[in-house]
Amino acid sequence: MIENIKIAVKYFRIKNYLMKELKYSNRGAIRVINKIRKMKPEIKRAFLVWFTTGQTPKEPLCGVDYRKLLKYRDLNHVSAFLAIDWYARNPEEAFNALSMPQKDICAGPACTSEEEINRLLDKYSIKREAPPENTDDIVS
Amino acid sequence: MPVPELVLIGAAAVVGTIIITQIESLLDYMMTDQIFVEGSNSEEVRHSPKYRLCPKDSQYVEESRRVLFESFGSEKPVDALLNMGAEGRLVAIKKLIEDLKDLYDVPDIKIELFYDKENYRLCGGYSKEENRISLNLFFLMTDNRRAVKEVLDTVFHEFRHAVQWRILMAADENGYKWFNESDMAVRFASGLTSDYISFREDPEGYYNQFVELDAREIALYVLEGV
Repeated sequence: MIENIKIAVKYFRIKNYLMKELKYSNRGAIRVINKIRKMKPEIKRAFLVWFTTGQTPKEPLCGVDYRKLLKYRDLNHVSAFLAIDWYARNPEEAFNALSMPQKDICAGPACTSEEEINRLLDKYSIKREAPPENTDDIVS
Repeated sequence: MPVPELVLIGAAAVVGTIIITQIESLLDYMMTDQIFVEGSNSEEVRHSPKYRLCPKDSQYVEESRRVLFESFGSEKPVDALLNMGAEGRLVAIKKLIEDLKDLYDVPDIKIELFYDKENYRLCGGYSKEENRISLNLFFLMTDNRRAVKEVLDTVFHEFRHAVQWRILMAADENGYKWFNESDMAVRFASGLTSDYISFREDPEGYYNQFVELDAREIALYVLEGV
C-alpha cells in the first residue's frame, strides 16, 4: 500500500526516467509503471530503494541474484526488477526465458583455431560484428 | 621504518589487492550459471500451454523437419554439425538457409551472417524493413551441443518471423503458401508493428507477445529430438 503511494508520488519521475534515460515509448513506459505497481511488495520496496538511492540488492531477491542478472542478461535496472517479479510469480516460464544462451555456460571450446575462423570469415566475407540495430524494426 | 621497507609493504599491498580482485573475478566467472539461487539446470524447454498449432502450421513444422533432416543425411542434425569441421558447418548452415528460403517461399530475403564474440547475446534477428535475417555464427563454431542447437533454433525462429511478416503482408491476397488462419495475421500485426516489446525493455512482455511465442514454439516443434 505505502509503496504504491510512493510510486504514485514519483510517477512522473519514473516515467521521465524510462522515456529519457532508457528510451521507452510513452506506451511502453506506462505499461512498465503498471507492472511496477503490481510487483510483489518486497520487490517493489527494493525497486524504490534503487530508484531513490541507486542502491541495488546485494542479497538474492526472491531467489534471484540481481547483480548477476544485470551482468549476464541484456537488461537495464528496471527490466531486471521486472524479471525478478516475473520469476517470483512464474518461476518455470521466467527461468526458461532468462536462462537463454550465456557465453560462459553455453559456448564452450571453439571447434577450431582462431586463425582458421579468421580465414573462413575472410573467405566467405562474413562480418566480425552484428549489424546495427534499429529497435523500431528488428525483432529477435 | 626505513623507506625501502615502506615501499616493499606498499608494493605487497598493491599485489595483494590485485590477487584478491583476480580471485573475486575468477569466482564470479565460475558462478555465472547461478543467477538463480535455486533453479533447474535442465536444458529441456517445454511447450507453452498458451500455444496450439493450427493444421497449416503442423504442415509447416513437418516440412521444415523434412528439409532439416534431408540436409544432414542419416545423422541427427546437431550430431552431424558437431562431427563436421568449421568450414563444413558453415557450408551446411548456408545450404540449410537456401533450402528454407525455397520452402518458405521467401526468395528475396537477405541473409547476413556475422561472427561476433562480444555480442554473443545476440543470436540473430529479423529486420522487416530490410527483409533481412542476421545470424551470429559464434555458437556454431564451438563444440558445445547446446550452443550448436541454439544456432539451428535461431535459424528456424528468425525464418518464422520472416514468414509472419509475409503472412501479414499477404493477408489480403490469400495467395501465400503458408497463409494460415485469418486471425493469425491480425495477431502477428500487433507484434510486428510499433507494439513490439524488446527483451531488454520488458522480458516477460517480450516472451509472451504472440509473434515471439509463435516463433519460439515453431522452432521448438521443428527441433524436437534433433
